[in-house]
This record gives sequence, C-alpha cells and structure tokens, in this order.
Amino acid sequence: MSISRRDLFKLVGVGALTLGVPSMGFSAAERKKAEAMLPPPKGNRVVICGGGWAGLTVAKYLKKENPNIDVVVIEKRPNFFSCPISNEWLAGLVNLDFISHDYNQPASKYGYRFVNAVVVGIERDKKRVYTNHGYIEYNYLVLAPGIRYNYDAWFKGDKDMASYTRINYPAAFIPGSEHLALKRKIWEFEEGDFVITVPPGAYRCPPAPYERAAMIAYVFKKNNVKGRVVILDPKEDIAPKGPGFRAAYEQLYLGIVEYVPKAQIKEVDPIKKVIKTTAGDFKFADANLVPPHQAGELVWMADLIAKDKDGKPTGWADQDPITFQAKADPNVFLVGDVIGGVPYPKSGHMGNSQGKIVAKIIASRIAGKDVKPTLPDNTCYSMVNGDPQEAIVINVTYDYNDKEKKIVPKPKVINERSTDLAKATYEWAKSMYKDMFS
Amino acid sequence: MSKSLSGVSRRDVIKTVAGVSFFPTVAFSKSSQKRESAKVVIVGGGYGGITAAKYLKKENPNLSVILVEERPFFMSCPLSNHFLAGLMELTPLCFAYNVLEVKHGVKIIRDKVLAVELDKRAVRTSQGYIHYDFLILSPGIDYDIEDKPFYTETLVYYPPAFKPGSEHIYLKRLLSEFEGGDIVITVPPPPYRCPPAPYERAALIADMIKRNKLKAHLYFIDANERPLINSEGFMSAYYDLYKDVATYITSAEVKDVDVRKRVVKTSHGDFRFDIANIIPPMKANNLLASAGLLKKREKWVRVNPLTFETHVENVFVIGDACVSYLPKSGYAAHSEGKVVAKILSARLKGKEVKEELLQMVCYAMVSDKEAIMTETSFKYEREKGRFIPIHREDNERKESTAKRYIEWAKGLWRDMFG
Amino acid sequence: MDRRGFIRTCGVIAVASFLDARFFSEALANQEGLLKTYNKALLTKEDGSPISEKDILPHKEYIFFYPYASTPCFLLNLGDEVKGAEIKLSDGQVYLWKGGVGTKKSIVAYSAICSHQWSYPTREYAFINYYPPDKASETTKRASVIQCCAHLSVFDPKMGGKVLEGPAEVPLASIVLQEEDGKFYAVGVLGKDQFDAFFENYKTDLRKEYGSSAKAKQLVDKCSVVEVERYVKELIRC
Repeated sequence: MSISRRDLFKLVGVGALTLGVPSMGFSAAERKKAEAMLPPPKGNRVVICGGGWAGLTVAKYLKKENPNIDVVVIEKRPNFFSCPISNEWLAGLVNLDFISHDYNQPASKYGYRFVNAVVVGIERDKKRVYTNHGYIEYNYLVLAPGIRYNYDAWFKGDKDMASYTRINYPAAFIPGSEHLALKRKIWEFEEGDFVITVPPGAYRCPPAPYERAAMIAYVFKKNNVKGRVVILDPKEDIAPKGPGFRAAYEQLYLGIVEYVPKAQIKEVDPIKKVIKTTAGDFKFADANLVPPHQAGELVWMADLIAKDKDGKPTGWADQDPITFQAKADPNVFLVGDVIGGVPYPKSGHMGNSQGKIVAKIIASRIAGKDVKPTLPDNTCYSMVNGDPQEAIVINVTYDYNDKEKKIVPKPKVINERSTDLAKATYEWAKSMYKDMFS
Repeated sequence: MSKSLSGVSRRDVIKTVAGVSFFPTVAFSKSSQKRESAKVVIVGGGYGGITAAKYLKKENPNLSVILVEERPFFMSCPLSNHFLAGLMELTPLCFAYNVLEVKHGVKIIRDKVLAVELDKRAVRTSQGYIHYDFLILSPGIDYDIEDKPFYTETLVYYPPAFKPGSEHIYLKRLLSEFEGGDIVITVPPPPYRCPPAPYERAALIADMIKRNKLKAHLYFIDANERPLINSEGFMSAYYDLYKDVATYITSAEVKDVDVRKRVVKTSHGDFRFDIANIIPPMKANNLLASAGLLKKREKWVRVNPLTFETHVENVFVIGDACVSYLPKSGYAAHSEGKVVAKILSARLKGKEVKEELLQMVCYAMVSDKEAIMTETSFKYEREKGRFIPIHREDNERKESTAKRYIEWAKGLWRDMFG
Repeated sequence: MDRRGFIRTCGVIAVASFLDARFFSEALANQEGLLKTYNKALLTKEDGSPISEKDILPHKEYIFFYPYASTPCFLLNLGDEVKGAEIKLSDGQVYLWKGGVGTKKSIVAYSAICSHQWSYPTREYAFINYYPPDKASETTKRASVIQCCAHLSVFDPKMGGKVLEGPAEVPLASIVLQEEDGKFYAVGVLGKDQFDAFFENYKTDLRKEYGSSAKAKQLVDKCSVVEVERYVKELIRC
C-alpha cells in the first residue's frame, strides 16, 4: 500500500510538538516577562531539577544534614513512577501502586519544597532556573533530570519519524505513559517476532533490556503466545550477568528468546517494521524500540555536556568524577544517570547512592567545611522467571586508586537464579522507596 | 451506621441557571462555517476531552485535532474507589494516550495549559501558543479552598483523591497501612464531582474495616442531610451492614482541620482521627476563571445547556467544569464529548444537528460485592428553561448490579481507548 | 433515484424478497454496505442436525455464532408474525428489514453485540438479553425487548432491532435468515454491524477463547444453536 510519508504522518497526528520537549530557545522576551516564584535566596538555597531517584535523595539528605538549607525540588510529573521493578509490573507480577509514589508527602515530611513545574530555561550566570510558572534563583543547582532519547542517531533529525517511532513503539525507559503502552502491547501480542533493541554505549540500567526480554518471554509462555522475543544487542555478549540471563533464556524460554549479539543498528524503518543491523535484517510484528540514551534535556540546556577530543558532545555531563561538581561551574552539581567520565552504571540505586554523597558535599560547602567524598555503590537485581519468581543479582563497590587516579570497580555477581533473590529484589525496592518517601 | 433512616423528600426539578435566556436554544444558530483546514484544540485528556477528540477525528479524519493534557497518562476516577478498597488493581484504570494518536490521528501535546487567551484564540503552554478555530475545554475541577486555608495542609497529608494521579496513590497507601483507630471522611456540599462517590467510599471503607476485622471506626461527616443520590440504598446499607463500625453524621459543616493534632472540627463537634479523607468543596478548574469564562463568585461555567457552547462563539466547556442538567461525572463528560463532536462536525459541514437530551447511568458499590444504581433521563421544558429529571433508582443492593458496574466502566473505556 | 422512488422500489422488492433472497440482496446491495452477505450457514442443534422450527421455542433466548466463529447472535421466536419494517439510521441511511421467517414468520435473529459499547454474551456473563412478554425488565419495565444492562439500551426485536430507549444510537444489526425445506440458514448481516470494534476491543479475550485472532475471525458455514443458559454461566438481568 503506498501512502506517502507525509500522509501517513498526517493520519497518525505526528508533529514536532508531540515530542514534548520544551523549546530550547526560551526567548529573551519570555525571560523578561517571567516572574520570581520564590523570594531571592539567602546563600543556602539548593534547587534540584528532577524528582527521580537522585534528586529526591539529594533533597532529603540535604535537609537531614542541615534543616536550615532551603531545598527546592522541581519536577514536571504529578507522581513518581519507578522504572526499577517496572519490568516486573509489565509481567503482571506487581501492582502499579507498588511502583508509584506521591511527591507531596515526602516533601512535607522532610521539609523540602516540591514544585510541580516544567523547567524551560537555565541561566547559570544569573543563577536562575526558569519554569512554566516563573523563575527560581539558586545558590546551588543540582541537575538530576535523568536521560533523554537520542532518536537523531536513528533518524538524523527527522522529527516526524522520531515522533512516529516514539508513539508507536515506545522505549519505556523514561517514566510516563510509555510503560503502559508497552504493557498493553505485550499482553495483546498474538504471534511473530517482538524485537527489543539494546542501546549502544552507556545507557540507563544495563540489565534492563535483558530482564525485559525475560519478563516478556514469561508472559508469552503464560499466554501460550506463538511469539518470539528477539534481542538485538550491539555488544558481543550479554552484560552484566551474562551467564545468568543466558541460562534463563536457554532453560526457561528456549525457542522464545533469541539473543542476537554484534547487531549494530544501521537502519530502523518503523513503517515497514524492519531493523537493519550488522547481524542481518530483522522484521518485527511489534517492538520495544529503544534508541541510544543521552543525558536529559536540562544538562544540554545548561550547556554542561562533555566534549570528546574532537570537540563533539559525548552526550553525558562534564562533571568531576568524585565530587559531581560541574567542571565549568562550581555551583552546579550533576548526579544520577546524566553523569559521564565514570565507570558507574546508570541505575536508580546509583542515583540514590550518589545523591547521599552529593548532599553531604553541598551541605559541607554551605557550612564552609571540608568533606572527603565517599564513592557510591550499586546493586542491581534482575527478575528472570515469573513463576516461581526468581532473580539474579550484581553488586558493585568502588575503590579509588590514588596512584593511577582511577575508580576501580569490585563486582560480585550471583548468576544462579533463586527465589531468595526474588524476595531480596522486593526487599531492596521497599527499602529504597522507604528511604525516599516514608 | 448508627443513624435512623430519614424520609426521602420529593426530588426537586433541576432549574437551569438564571440567565439561560441569553443563550440561543436551538442547537446552533451561528453562521455555518465550512472549514476544511479548521483546527480544534481540546484542553483536558479526561472522559470529556478524549471522547470529543476521538469522535471528531472519526467523523472528520482530515480535521486537525490537538489534545493538550498535562498528565502523562489517563487514570480513571470512576472505579478508583474499587482501587482504594483493594477490589481492583490500578493498572486497569490507567490508559496511555498514544492509542488516540496511533488509531485516530489526534495530536497529543503533553503539557500544562497555563492560560486560555480567548482574545488571541489561543491556549498558552510552556512551549508557547497553540491557536484554535474551535476550543473545547474539559479541564475538570480544582479544589475550592482559598477561603479555608486549613485545606491546604489536608490536601497534602490527607488528600481528597478526587483528582486523578498521586492523591489516590497516597490515600491508598494510608488505607493499606491502616491497622486500627479512627478514620474520618468529610463530604462537601454540592455541587462537587460525582455525587455518589463519597458515599460509595464510606461504604467500602466501612466494609474494609469489617472484612479485615480491624479495631476501627469510621466517622462519615457529611455537609448534606443525606446521600445526594440513591439515598435509600446507601442509608439501608449503612444501617444494615455498618452500624457497628461507622457513624454517619449529617448536616455537619467542617470548620477546621488540624493535621498535627489530627482533629476535624465541625458544627456537630470535634472528631479525632488516625487517618482521614478530607474532601474539600470544588469548583471549575482555575483556567476557566483566568480565561474570563466565570463571572465573579461563579464556580462553574455557564453554557448553552444543549450545546455546551459558552457565550464565546466556538468555545465549548464540557465535563465537570460546566453547569449542566447532568450531574457531574465521567459518564456525563463522555456523553457531552460525543455531543460536542457532533455539533462541531455539523458546523464544519454547514449543517444543523438535532438537539438531544442525554441520560445518566450511575452505579455505586455499597459493599465489596454489591452495588446500587440510578438511571436518569430528562425532560426539557423549553419555555420555562428547565430540565426535569426522571430517576429510576434501584436501591436494592445486588451482586449483579456490581457486575454491571464493571461492564459499564469497561464499555466507556472501550469507547475511549478501543 | 430519489428517496420516494427508492421506497416504492423497496416495497415491490419486499414482496418478491420472500421468494428469493438473492433478488432481495441485489436490490439492496447499493445501500452502501448496509447489507453484507457472508457464507450461507446452516443453523443446527447441538448434535449437528439441522434445527427445525419446533426446536425454536417461543420467547426463549438462543445463541449462535455468525458470520464469524466468535460473533454472537440471538435467535428468537417472537411467537407471532413479525412484519418487515424500514429502519432509519441517524445519518439518513435507510434499510429494509424483512421481518420474521418460519411458518408464522415469527423467527428473527440479531447480532448480540450491543451497538452502544459492545457488551456481548461471554461464557461468564451476559449483560445483554431478551426479555420475554412475561418477564419485563425491572428497570425499564419493558418486555419483548432486547436490553443491555450495562447502560440500559433497549432494542426492539419486532422492529429490526431499533433503539427504543437508552444511549445506543444504532439499531442492533440483524442477521438475514432464510428458510429452505424446513431448514434455517443465516446468509448475511443487515444494518451497521459492530464487528470491527468487537475484534479490536476483545483481542486478548478472543485469543484466550479461540486460540488466536485468526480462529476467532474464521467465517462459519454451520452454526450450532444453543439456549443461552447452556452457554453463559450468569445471565445479568435488570
């Protein structure tokens, strides 16, 4: 059927506006009109952009260190949705309200201000954050906006294609409606290949695509669906917890999960439903198309993205690996998935772990004291079986090698899936939620 | 509940708001506008907005329909009491908006509307202005708390759960962690969103106390004399099933709530609580006041009762935000969305559309397994400008009615999210 | 052809149609898809033998599946002669429903998918049911109707399934029946059917019931007729 691409997009209702990205050029005229939302700060205001794992942790621990610090969290979503454990929810193993949390309560409890607004501009020289409700001045700024999708890597600036792909084959790596749409796809899937693309390079939550594949395969098995889950991975092998995932695929989902390594994406055609890779062409009946990840919009807005030796943006923030301070601006801290130049995986646990460190650092700065920052740690559970529920885990601590000036990871992996680890998964989640919300 | 059944007085005729005479009473009397490239902007992705968007696109596939909604996904308030009481999971109540884009070609903009500028014929979001030829406002309610500052704190600590999103999530947490003590629910005077909702919630929470054998008591504090709908059905359930675990206090006005001391002060005395569901009075979404669609001291937007058009040409308000002969509910908003879609479609083709009177179908749980319901149709006395409701109440609590309730909701969701 | 001319022609055809369904369907074929012919399917008893008139008891609610394996229909014997009628749709289209078949012309059939929001009889529940003359609805007080208890739409089986009250805006689609040598066949669907919405909305349920969408969408050439009580666990009446 030959529909012109223009017509197809007209039918589908695609447009640049649907990408939901605040305009990068928040004009000077608009800035002039904006009003202050809060009185000017008194030397101790920390504005945190992003109410995720990192942002909320910084907020709470700042107040714990020093209740007199003026802490403001700006977050655009109405409630917190946890990406960790969302794969279990996709599989129907947990309820939606287990992974959803209210923002107002913890703000009240810990004493920080929660502002439900969209950040539309950042002026670091004026130390101002502009939102859709006015601006807030800061003494210290924490940028923890999470990731953004880099559809340009696939579609080279074609916003229509990017929109079409996001609407029809949501990545579900950013909280919002994408996970809901993906869940519906998984449970309504009839037959054929369901493709998951693993992003290249650094991306949010390294084991997530493999866990997702396992959970989708579990649903297909449960529903007797004649479908396959095809994982297209640019890497040579599954990492982390490769043996654990592979064992699950072979023992639990033989014939259902197909893992394709060394599959770098050459072309994505969401209309013809074909993905061309260095490992072959793959047709799909439906898909979870995950483009490469980059630091969230606000880091670009603040002009704090690192550049590689050729002067091209790396896609991640340019911050000190130990203090999380922006190299270009001592009053700005970057924390969570946005950071670059460190061997840390990007995860919720990491965001929380880093958040505590950054809170200490900023609190000390405000108090005029010195502090020796510690290094964060990471723990990552992955559910590989739905019935009985069984998980695998990786735990990484880090040491600083003074001589080589390097952060050295010390991983501990348990690749043997067990029901005990599944229980531990939920205990970990509950303790995290408790830390941030209760 | 420990309160004797009071007699149910004859239902009053619903009078339309005084001044309806300045609205034309024919379906549309404006000059016909055949516009191929017209742009319809819909503010609010709730029951009204989604339905209007879908039906507009179905009838006019080439029409530009833009829906602006600030929340990331749709969560249904209808049946949310089931979720709060642990009878249903939250997921079935939630829907992604992308199906409207994929299946029907509605452009969805996920952003907050900061202002409706009628003179510019545009709505303002964080991304700038979106211009419209036709505007459908279905933004729902806001809590009317400006003159009662104690509500500001109760909103945070004991959320009303009458707006979809985090309020229900937090209230559910409070309820699931509740192990005993006193629960207070306060009900405002009408009009508020969904007349039976607080009564249903009280019944389900009382039922929860009984089912879980908690050492607890519910104090149900109502500003009204009796339940606003299915009065008999609720009252007999309260009396037959819950008189040992709940007390129903009527005609009690909330004067203050101290969230620290956990006390509600009312015109009928003070009530201590361990957890509470404080439901404040409501009004139309603040956007409508700032747009100039509300006169001073008005809380709901006056519209042509049959077409939902405001005094501004091609600007419609549907759903809970407007004054309507239909009680405020998702079902009404859905029906109104269909009507406005029909009217606009006809207007675009230069045609007229027949007037239609809508009807109400309303269910309410009174225990974890049984429900009651009301079906209301209306007669319109044009010369007097009033709508006469004809209620068919089924006040006998039945399991079959509870099952119909779920099918009623699923039907709506099928129609909206197909 | 102007509308008056069309109706005159229809009047002539209506008489002729009782003799030859094919002639009837040709004339109505240009009703913009309001008559769709499918496989000619024999209505049978549960044992597979053709159902005969005496098996279709008056005022009992029977279910069969046509034109697809999963689309439910009501088979009703209304007791007395049911004359044909002109059915008007809200968009102005008109179609002619030819009334009942059988010796008394009392046997009719309709799609059992509510035209409002697609409630239909599943194995678990039926919210849409027939109310015989002696079992009026407690809510609407109507008898001899098909009523859906989700939103209280009421349809008239004596008048081509047209809407009597409630939010439905479209009559129930009717199943065109043909009698030959005492055997009954379903040959087509007349009116606005709800099949697209049905398949779209119930994808997962149909897949569970039939194994796959393809199986649910298979066109049938035989229909087993069964009393609704034997198919549905719980009939929800109101």
